[in-house]
Amino acid sequence: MEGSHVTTDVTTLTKAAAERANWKLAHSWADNLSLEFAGVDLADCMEYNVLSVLGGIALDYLEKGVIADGQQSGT
Amino acid sequence: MGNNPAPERPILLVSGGATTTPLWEQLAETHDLVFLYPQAAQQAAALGLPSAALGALWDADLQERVANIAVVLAARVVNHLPAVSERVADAYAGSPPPNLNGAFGEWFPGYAHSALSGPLAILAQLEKLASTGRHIAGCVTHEDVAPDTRTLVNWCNARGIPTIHVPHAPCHLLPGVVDIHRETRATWIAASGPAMADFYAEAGHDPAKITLTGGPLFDGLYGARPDRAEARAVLDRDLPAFAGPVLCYMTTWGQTTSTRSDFEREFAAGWEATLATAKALGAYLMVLVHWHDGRAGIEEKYDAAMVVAGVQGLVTRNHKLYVLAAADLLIAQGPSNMTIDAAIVGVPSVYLSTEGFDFRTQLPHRCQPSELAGVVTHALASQEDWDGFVAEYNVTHGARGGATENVVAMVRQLCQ
Repeated sequence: MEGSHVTTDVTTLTKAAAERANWKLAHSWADNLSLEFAGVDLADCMEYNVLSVLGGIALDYLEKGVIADGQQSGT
Repeated sequence: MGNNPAPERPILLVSGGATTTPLWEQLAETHDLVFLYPQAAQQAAALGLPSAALGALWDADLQERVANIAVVLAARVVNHLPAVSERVADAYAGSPPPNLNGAFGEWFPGYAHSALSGPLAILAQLEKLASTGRHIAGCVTHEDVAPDTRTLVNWCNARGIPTIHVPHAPCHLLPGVVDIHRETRATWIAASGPAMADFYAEAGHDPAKITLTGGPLFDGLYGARPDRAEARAVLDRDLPAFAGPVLCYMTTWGQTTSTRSDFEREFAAGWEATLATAKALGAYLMVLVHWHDGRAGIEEKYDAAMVVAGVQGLVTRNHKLYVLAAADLLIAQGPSNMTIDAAIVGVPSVYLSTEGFDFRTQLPHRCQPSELAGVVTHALASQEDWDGFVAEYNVTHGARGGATENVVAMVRQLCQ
């Protein structure tokens, strides 16, 4: 995928910023994507899953020092 | 008189779980209960209640259908990846961590396929239940953030079926903190107390659809329970003769929906402070391991640490009522709702602070690990209005219970 091969300076990313980004992403990744069945938006049903896996990735990098722990997270 | 069959009773969809358990018997007087959690259905059946598991509708045809739909939806995710990629870059302001930067497409579609399958299975079962023509009068759930319960609630909402959230516990998120626990989907909330009602109203829930009922789980704490002397004698025959204070340390568990880090370090610091405090005060220490605390061998580790420190005590994952009744003071790892349980049975508490969460009330006492001994000493000697504290979180505290009846009345009114 593609499309996001930006130069990454991840050490400037703080824990709180990563968390805000994960939250935003969990609510926006399926925008304009139809994941509906039986009248239910499956993307909303998956919110917990997506937040968990994004949080897990960020946490892994946090513990490896890739993400800076320079700011208290809110959650 | 006549030969007309009795009219079919309405179906009530129930998540299951400890929070709804006190409601089952009374709700089953007027509704047939269909449980999301199979364990709850088994438990209800053992009690002789008219009930079934939603999963009983699962068969080979549904399995095949769900598998096909999951593949189709996962393919849509694959086709949507360029747009998702843009949102990843946008969310992270151009600096996502490596696995979210270019590698996202390698794992996310498979993950989405996996995550879609569970909700799809529930939806297929709900559709099959609806196709029987039985009247589905409502839904009662203890939470609606996990995929299974949210799917249940969203399906009901889409059909105008009343949904009632009886939260499994007050949430102590600090104001302004974003977290999935504010994201309730049910139309109605049965709030245990004003603090819970305020929490959901501040999160955007319509205050007119929040009813103060008390917490059904608290009702059991007002019934018959051991007194302090009996509890101590049952837990340890040497405890009644113990001269020092009796402390209970409640462990906790780490949540995974946020970037909380260093849980292990936080837990270790809290435990070390608790152990040092118990030793300094000459206290008996009861470690109550949280039921979600999945750390391997944790009971043995606590026990061994107490032996090394020369602190007398016990470690258990059970016997909550006895442990609380036996304690002079509860020390909780984080702002635990166990402090409310403790206050209901007359035990004051202190909790070790954590990030992002706090009670909105002045009580319980709270501190950093380095301050614990002093705060515990103060709390053991002081007299505070713990009844006022409890009333904020359980509005039926003054009546010594009755939340179950309040919630049942609410359900019967809304789910006809």
